[in-house]
Formats: sequence, C-alpha cells, structure tokens
Amino acid sequence: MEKDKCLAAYELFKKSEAGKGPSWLVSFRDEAMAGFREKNFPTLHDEAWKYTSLEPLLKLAFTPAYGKPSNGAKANLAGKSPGESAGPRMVFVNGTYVPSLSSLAGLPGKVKMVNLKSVWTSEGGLMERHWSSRNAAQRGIFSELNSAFFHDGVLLHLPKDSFSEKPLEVIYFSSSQDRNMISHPRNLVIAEKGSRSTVIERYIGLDESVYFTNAVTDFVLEEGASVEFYRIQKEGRQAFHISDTHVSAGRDSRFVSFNLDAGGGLVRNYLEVAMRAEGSECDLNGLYVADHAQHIDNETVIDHLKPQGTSRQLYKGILDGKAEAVFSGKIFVRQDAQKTDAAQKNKNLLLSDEAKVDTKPQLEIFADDVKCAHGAAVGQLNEDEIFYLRSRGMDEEAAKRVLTYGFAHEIVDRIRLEPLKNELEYWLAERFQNHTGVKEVGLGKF
Amino acid sequence: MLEIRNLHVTVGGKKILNGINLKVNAGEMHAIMGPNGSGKSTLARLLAGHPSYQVTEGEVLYEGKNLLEMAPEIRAREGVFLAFQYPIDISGVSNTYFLKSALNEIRLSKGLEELDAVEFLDFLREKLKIVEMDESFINRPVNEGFSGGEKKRNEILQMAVLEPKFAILDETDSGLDIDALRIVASGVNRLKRPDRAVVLVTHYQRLLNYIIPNFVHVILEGRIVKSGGKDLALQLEAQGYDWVKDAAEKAGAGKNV
Repeated sequence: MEKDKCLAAYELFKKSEAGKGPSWLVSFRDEAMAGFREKNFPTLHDEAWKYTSLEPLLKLAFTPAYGKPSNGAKANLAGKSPGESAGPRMVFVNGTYVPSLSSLAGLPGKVKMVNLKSVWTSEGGLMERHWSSRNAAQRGIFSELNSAFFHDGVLLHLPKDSFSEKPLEVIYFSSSQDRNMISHPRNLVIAEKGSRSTVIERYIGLDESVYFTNAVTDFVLEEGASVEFYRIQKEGRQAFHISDTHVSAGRDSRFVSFNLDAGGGLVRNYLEVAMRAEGSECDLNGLYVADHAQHIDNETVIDHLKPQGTSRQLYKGILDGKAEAVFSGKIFVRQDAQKTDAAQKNKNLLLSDEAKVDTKPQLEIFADDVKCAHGAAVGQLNEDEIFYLRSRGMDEEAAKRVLTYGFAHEIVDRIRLEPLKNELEYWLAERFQNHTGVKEVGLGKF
Repeated sequence: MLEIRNLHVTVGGKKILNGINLKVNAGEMHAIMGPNGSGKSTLARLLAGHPSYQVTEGEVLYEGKNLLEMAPEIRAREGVFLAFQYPIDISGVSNTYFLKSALNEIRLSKGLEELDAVEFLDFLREKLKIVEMDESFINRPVNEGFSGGEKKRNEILQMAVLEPKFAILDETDSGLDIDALRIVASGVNRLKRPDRAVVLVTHYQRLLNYIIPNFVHVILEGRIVKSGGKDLALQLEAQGYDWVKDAAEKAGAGKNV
C-alpha cells in the first residue's frame, strides 16, 4: 500500500460510476484525499501503534472493490445465513449494497435505514453536517482514506422517541477474487432525542482470501437517546481490518456496546466515546479470541467532558498459539467533568507459551471530584481449577476448554439480545470444541 | 476396595505422611480424625490425585489396581470422588453445565451414551432433593457467591450426580451450622450402598453423630496410630488428641510401630 498508488487510484475512482456524486460529496472526498496526502501511515514509533506493525499490510497492493460484486462472491454467499436476529437487515458485499440479500421489512414507523448512495442528495445536508464536524483525532490516515473512497454504506436515522424493538442489522461480507480487495464500509447512525434502538454491525469474511476492510462508523446520540450496539468481526484469517468508531453522546444518553473480534489476521479497532453532556452513560464490553498468528489491537477512548457521566468498560481476551493482542484503554476526565464515575477492566487469558498481550490502561484526570478505577490482568488457567475439574472426570484438555469457555462467558453473558447471545454461546462452545456443549446451547443456560 | 500400604508422602520437600496403612472394604464407612497438620487432608487430596504430592514409598491399591498411576480424571471415572475441603469457584460455568460435562465424560468412558440437556435436568432434579437444594443453584456459576454451607452441599450434590464407588469427604463438616450439617449428613447417608465405601476426614466428632462410621482411625504426624469403632470418636471428643499421642509414644518406645 503506497500513497502514490492510492492517489492514482483516487483519480480513477473519481472518473468511475461509483465515484460520482453531488458536489458536496465530491468536495468532501477531495478534502479527505488532501488530508490523506499530508499524513503518513503510522509506524511503531507512534505511541498509539507501538505494538502493532502495519508492515504486513503496507507491503501489499490492494485494488478498490467498487463496481459490481463478482458472481464468485455471490455464489459463496448462498448457503451462508447471517445470525437469526429476524429484524431489518442491510447486506453489502465488498462494499456494494445488495438489495436482494437485504430486508427492510418491519422497520418501525419513521425510522430511516437506507444505503448512502440512494440518499446522497436528499440526505446530503445531514451527512455533510455530521462528517465535516469530525475533528482532527477522527481524521487519521485510514479514516481519510475511507472518506475519499467510500462509495456506499448505511444511514440509520432514528426519530425522536422512536423505539426499534427488533435489532437493526448491517452486514459487510468480503472476499477477494483475483486481486487483493479493499473496501470502505461507512455507517452513520443518528439517534434523536429519546430514541431507543439496537444496532448490529457484522464484518464477515467469505473465505480465507487476503483483503482489507477499512471501516468508519459514527454514532450521534441526542439527549436521552439509548443505543445498544453489537459489533461482530469474523473476517477471514488472512484479512486486514481497521475500524474507526466514534460516538458522540448527548445529555442523559446511554450507549452500551459489545465488540467481538474473532477473525482477521491483523485487526485494529479504534472506539471513542465523547461524553459531551451531563449525565451520559456508556458501557463498553469486548471479547477478542485469537490464535495461530492473529494480531488484534483494540484502542478505546472514553472522554468525559461534562459532569455526572458514568462509564464502564470490560474487555477480555483469550490468546492461543502465537497470537498477539493489544489493549489500550484511555479515560479522559476533563476539568468540567465533576462527579464522573469511571471503571475499566481488561483481563487476558494466555493459553500458550507464545501468546502475547500488551495491555495499557491510561487515565488522565483533570477534575477533582471523580471516581475512577482501572485494572488489567494477564494470566493463565488456574491449576487448582483444572484439578477440580479433573477430579470430576474431565481430562486436562476438557478441563481447560471448560475453564476457557467460562472465562469468555462472563462477557457473552452480558449480551441482552437473546438470539445473538445464543448464537455467540454456540459459537463459543464450538470454538473451544466442546462436544457436550455444542448440542445444548439454546436449550439450557450455560 | 481400597488398600493403602506403608504410604510415605512429601509436599514441597516436607514429609507429611509417614507410613499410612489402611484398608477399606465396600459397604464400609471410615472416619479419619486428627489434629491440624496431622496429614489427613493430604491423604484425602493424594487419593484424588492432586499433582503437588510426591509419593516416596508405599502403594495404594484400588480394586486391586495401582491407584497412584492413574491420572485424576481416570480415578474419577473409576469411581473415586473427593468432596473438597475448599471447593473451587468456577466463574462463567454454570453448575448444570459443569455437572453435565462431568457426568457425560464419565458415562462416555464407560461406553454409555451422554445425557442430553432435558434428560440431565430430570436426572438432576431428583438429585437436588437429596441435598435439599432448589433449582436456583443449578444455573449459578459453580460455587460463585455460595456460602460455606452451600459449597459443601454442592459437593454432596456432585457426589449424588456422579455416584462414586469410593468417596472421600475432606472436612466436609468444617464451617457448617447445625442445619447445613444435618442436610449434608442426610445426603451422605442416602447415598450409602453395599457396593460403595466412604472415608470421612474430620477434625471434630460432631459429624459422626449424624454419619455413623464403622471404623474410626486417629492420624497423628502422618501416621495412623489408633483404630477403633465409633466409640473412639466419642473418647476423642471427651479427651482430645493428647491421650492418643501419649499412648502412641509409649507404645512406640522400644518398638517400631
């Protein structure tokens, strides 16, 4: 991935069908490209990328995926059904919207869930307003690349006091055909005052091809809005996944998220919650499970800007083989943010001698009447626990599987959306190859 | 069923058991009593196969086979069960899941089919009655947030589910109030069978009012120094361990015990 090649690709993109759009969009893209040109890809010398080398990504060339999804990718899709959440669902393949695989039935009242391309003009003002207000921190080089090259995505607009009972789901499938493909999923969720909703984002690899998903998602929560957000990342083992998620939380709003990283060869997620007004609450949960040579890096930033905010965070990791994980959790408590109540925990389980985790909690507190706690732990399975299970007839391998499942389950148990919880419990049981467990998920409690 | 011959055991370089001899037959209930540090819990944990213990001399035969060579899970599948003195918390794993996994592992090793969730639940409900526990326990993570008494009852519940041939109860009475003690004892009594044996490891005589042993052994400094019937327990209660110690020393002077 070289900057010059990106610039050249951009010129081609602008001339293509996918690259056309209203003038505000063209300016927005040009500006992003200018930003991209000025910046450099992060290196190990950049504090935030200290433990994650982009070398494996940068040494490869990628071809933008705009245009029709190839039949090959579609063929793969037949027979893959996304989780059974039975709600409205938008499906993209290699960044292109596929209405035939999507379903917008059951969208409540005035809730708007549309692909960006179909509303470039009618919702242009809205999109431009939100995206142009992104600050410097939100314009990292990959985010700029997305802003220059994105050609579709999702706009989800939840009107005042609306209640979306069924989850609103977006799925991005990816697969490279003959060349390494890059796509730029882009999502904008606007939750108006008092609205309540559940949003699911899935990133799924259709095969083990090499591709690069460069995603950007923005949430805007107005006063009293409540959003439950589930992000399921199951990219292919050779895939690159870089994501940027920003949440602007308004007064008395509530943002609860659950992030699962199960796939990808090199993954880096950035999640920032800016608690802009009094009384906002956020609860961030994460589970990353990696083995072989996977590298999964999660950076989160919770920024308490105003008083009376509450934040909770629990991220857990399970690492096997030669996998590496990074967790960097920053909490800012600004001068005005009195009576902030923040707590963060990161726990990691290493199942092999070569697995590695770097965990870096950071607190920067500028107010004086606050409650802040943070903790990080890295450990292995407990010998006494293993013995206890063995003394009940489980062999050492089975005992380790059960204990590992138990470790992960603390996070999965927090999922409020029952069908998704069952789906992930099943996945967890299968992942740890528990033959007695797999059949039974969904029938009884784990 | 179980025969221990001249067993010497070290833990972390320290000699704890100094020549234990014990024979337990099917249908029998044995109590092993001793002061703190006498080695009784070491004996219990060793029989279950805890990896920390080194056997320096002696042997243990279980149904004629060398028990010491069997891995902990093999011993469990052969019907050996230890009710832990300090049961372990296993967060994130429900009691049901734990018990079903354990039972199915044992069933599989015997060539039996696994029980599915529905079959197991029915099976479990019957067992819950034995320890007077209600269904709320089965979905909670194993031992997490359980009181001392609940943890001990959970051990007996496991015993009821796994139906071992040879059960060792390691200070199952410690920390229990009278009600919990009664329930635990009642559970153990209900599990008695002519083809099963139980060894109770205990410090106090109290439990033995409820679970009547056939044999009582006193362990001191890693050796069984006296054996008798249930009255021996009453004597210990009245007179403490010192008189046994003195008697053992006198007997030992001039003679190898």
